[in-house]
Amino acid sequence: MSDSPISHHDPSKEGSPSSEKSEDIESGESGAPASADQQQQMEQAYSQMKRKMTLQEMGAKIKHKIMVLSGKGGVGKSTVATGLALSLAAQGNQVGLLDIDITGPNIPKMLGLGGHRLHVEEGRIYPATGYSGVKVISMAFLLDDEDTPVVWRGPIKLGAIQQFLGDVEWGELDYLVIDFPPGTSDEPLTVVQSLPDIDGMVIVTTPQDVALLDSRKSIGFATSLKVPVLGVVENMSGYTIRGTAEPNAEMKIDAPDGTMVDVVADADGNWSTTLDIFKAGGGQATAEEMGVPFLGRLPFDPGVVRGGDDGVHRIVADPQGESAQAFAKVVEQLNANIAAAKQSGGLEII
Amino acid sequence: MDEVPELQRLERGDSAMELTWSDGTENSVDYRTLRYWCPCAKCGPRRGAQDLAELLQAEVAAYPQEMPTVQTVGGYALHFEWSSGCSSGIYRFERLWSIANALDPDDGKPYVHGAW
Repeated sequence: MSDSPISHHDPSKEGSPSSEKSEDIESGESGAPASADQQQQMEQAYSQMKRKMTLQEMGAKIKHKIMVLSGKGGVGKSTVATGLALSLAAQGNQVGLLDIDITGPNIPKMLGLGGHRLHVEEGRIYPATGYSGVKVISMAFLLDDEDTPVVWRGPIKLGAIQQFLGDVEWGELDYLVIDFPPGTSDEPLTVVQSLPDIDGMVIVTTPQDVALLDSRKSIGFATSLKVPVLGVVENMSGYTIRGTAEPNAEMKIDAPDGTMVDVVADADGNWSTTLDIFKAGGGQATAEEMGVPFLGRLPFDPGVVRGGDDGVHRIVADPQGESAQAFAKVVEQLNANIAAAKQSGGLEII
Repeated sequence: MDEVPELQRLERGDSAMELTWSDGTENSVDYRTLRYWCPCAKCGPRRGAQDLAELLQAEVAAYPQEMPTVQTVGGYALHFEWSSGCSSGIYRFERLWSIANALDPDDGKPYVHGAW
């Protein structure tokens, strides 16, 4: 069975790795014409060899490679990965965003790239370009329509991931942000084993216990593979409500956790308060408990949800807004942690 | 397995590699020994039966002498690429320590070791 599922889903098939011919692979070693099976095997071996070489080159061409994981689904991992990519790009960096969520690829929609088709030339896949020049690769680009399910067993998914890594023409990048499906199995393991010099993992969580429990598994996963945890991000952390009242009015707000929060309007009658929709501080507590850095909190912002649906990320729509500023702080801490991780140790291979 | 020292340096020679560990230990690992202890799903089970193990040993001994390319895998292992024979194995540092110190890297369980 071929491990090149992308070529099967590329409507043009033009120049895809599996259709590529080379003089070296037209015949067997004996000089006799190779059978169709032999030729297919040789083509696959040739593609794999090229891919391995490309993966080594990627180590040099892409300065920083960051994996974004979560133990639990629905914590906003793709939104955070997209936000990190856009925030890094807003600082003037060349950024790539790789959506490894094969069965639930959402990032193109979040970036207004739904319906985009990938360009393939001479066996190389060229990424789509989103806001701020962010280069994007996603399984969604290869599906006939967004409702088409991807029904693949593990080995086929792994083949697709290796193609995403080894056959994509990323060019020179400062950062490659890689978004994963939830969990700690095939997808992140394949990337760790295929891509050299990964800077580390960002673990996304929400403050409730169920998400934190799974986050600890993700941290344990990183520890097992000895890949640095660059930090934990607490997403959907606090929802700020605002209103007006009589100047200096004192009010009580019925908070989601059942407590009453005291709020006082200012002299102009404006008031605001931040409520914890789930819980508060769980991400930071987990990071401290597991001995890994905490990157920061991202607010619960309905504008992020609307932006994702409309294809305009909140950072793009409101670059000075609360969410954009929170992402900028997370990125600042992330960069500091990347620098710290790079300084530690290292194996010399001669 | 107890915590092993960190591998700090790997110097490839023509037929063996020299390893330097963080506790100061230095040792030499012959490539044929390294390849015999390949942790992959094909090689591992062969070490579980004496006749197959002998066959594996003979195959490894017949490989041409060559220097592998070496790549780190995450921060936990090394991958050795050879131009002939099996290049599938991912060697955890704990395994390399065992091989280098003539311990049983399979820990008596060649079928389950190296599940990654």
